[in-house]
Amino acid sequence: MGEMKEGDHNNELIHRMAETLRQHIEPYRPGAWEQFKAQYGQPKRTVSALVRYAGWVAAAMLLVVCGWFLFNQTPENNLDTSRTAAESPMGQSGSELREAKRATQRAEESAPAVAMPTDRKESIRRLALVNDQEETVPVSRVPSAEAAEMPVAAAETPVVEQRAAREEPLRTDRQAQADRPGPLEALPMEREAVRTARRHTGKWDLGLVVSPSLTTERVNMGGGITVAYRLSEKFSLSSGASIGEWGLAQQAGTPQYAQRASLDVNEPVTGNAGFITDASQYKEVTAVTSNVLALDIPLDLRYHFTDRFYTSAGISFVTILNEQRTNHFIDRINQPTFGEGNSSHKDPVASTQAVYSSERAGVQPLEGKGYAGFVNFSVGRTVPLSRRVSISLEPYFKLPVGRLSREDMDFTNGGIRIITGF
Amino acid sequence: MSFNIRYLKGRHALSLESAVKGCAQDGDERSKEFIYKACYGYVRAITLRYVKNEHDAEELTNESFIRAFSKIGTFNSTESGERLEKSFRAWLARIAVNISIDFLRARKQLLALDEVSEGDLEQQRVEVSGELHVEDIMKLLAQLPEIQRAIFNLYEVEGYSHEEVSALLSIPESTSRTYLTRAKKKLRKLYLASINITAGI
Repeated sequence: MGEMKEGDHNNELIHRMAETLRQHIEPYRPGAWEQFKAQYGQPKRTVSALVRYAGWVAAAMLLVVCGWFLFNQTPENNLDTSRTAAESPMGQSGSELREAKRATQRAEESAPAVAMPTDRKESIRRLALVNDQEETVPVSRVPSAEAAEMPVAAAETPVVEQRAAREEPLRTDRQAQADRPGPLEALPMEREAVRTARRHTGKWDLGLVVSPSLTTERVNMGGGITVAYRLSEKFSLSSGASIGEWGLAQQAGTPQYAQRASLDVNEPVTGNAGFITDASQYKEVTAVTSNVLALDIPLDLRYHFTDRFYTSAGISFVTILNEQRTNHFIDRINQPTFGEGNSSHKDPVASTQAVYSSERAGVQPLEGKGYAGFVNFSVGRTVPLSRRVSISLEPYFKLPVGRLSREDMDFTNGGIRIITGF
Repeated sequence: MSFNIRYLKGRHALSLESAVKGCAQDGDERSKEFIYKACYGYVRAITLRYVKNEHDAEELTNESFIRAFSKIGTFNSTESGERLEKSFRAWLARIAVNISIDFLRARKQLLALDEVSEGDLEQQRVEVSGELHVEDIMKLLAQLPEIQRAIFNLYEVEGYSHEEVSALLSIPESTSRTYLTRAKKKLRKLYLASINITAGI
């Protein structure tokens, strides 16, 4: 009887507890709805739209970069080196040159007030005749007065360089080029790495990279993939492959050995000895630039300060897939003296006009070479866009070391990597 | 002459019934706000019974509303007025319970913590008078292993059968019964201990 009473009492206790809990309602916490709306409402949709947008932009950029490289790899102009190099030192069209010839004749008919040797006039006439028959390309011209005082270092012509950079690189052996795997075909290892990484997504980080960079010559564009393996919470080992086209200038203090590809050694030398009889012999090399397509495979150790910030250092292996050199010349011709038909009031020295020209070099000393190339330094910040997708901005600096630093071209470059991580 | 305040306020006045209908028809943001504010305390009281951490309870409360708003089209009731509101609250409670159980199962601590011996239970002081206060009961509940607390809540408070509890927790019915008995025994013991402490003072 006593047990029953105790049992009833116990059940009553439990029932009372349950009923009390059932009836209980927590008080409303002020601001709960606003917080709920902010956390799970409209902004979430905006973020997902942003992720989608960022993904499309990254994919489009990568497509453009790949397309650009593939396009540049296609041989279009198989120009004969000697013909291509035979640019007009005066950079004039045929009609202008004919006008120059007429002016020369008029100048000869009139009293020669200018003290110019007859042989010099003869050589210029020959120059005009030779150039009239040759393919000419426009080059920038600088008025004589300013040009005469212009330092040689400033005599580079960006317009010509940009044009030269866009032109198809010379191919002396097209078959060899065709047999060589393209930059994107040369990445089976990276593809395997991607597949492996997808199997172990916990430890591996994958990313697509677009990296504008700056060399001493110009702004360049590159792109590729990056793979990182997390060694620990703080350290990870990253590698990958990227292809970039770099515009390079000669290193300071390097002797210029630009080859005068336009020099026609078979040209018979006429006139008196001691006078220049060929147009190319007026040329003075002011600069040599190079446009290289390079495959860069880095191996970096990355240290994560926090989840968002990291720094990395390592080395890069570089292979030059393609090279195109351009020589830049300055010519000094007193051609306007003849153009005006009357050179009597002109000082022939002061009226000398400087003409700048560029021509492709027939040599590619870097092409096909591989280097243990760069020491890399970078810092990066990762901005997560969603649980799986993030964007990292990583300013970097690449310093050439070893044989690469001893090449005549300055490979030092820096830029910013934009990495879409998955 | 009596006026219902909701009609004086015209279209701005909402009842839980109209808010549920408005939310189901066109996902009206104002209806959601009304439902959230009207049922927040009710749902939070449920989630707090299953998890000790207030932050977790808040998260589970919000997740319950997210699921309720997204599935509100599936809530069918031919009733109206208070009956519909009661039916809606029961529907909302079931969602909150399911989400809380999912949360506990995801943490994989549901069964592991059952090995706590009775000697390990803290002799936490509970203020007990003639009336049972929620705070005191919650303190007692908090001292139960999670699996026992969940079964006690499901069976005694929410009214689930042992069959439903076993399906929900993926345990045999017999285990559900055993754990419920243990839970009640421990609750009584804890309650008596708290009375003795109080009486001792």
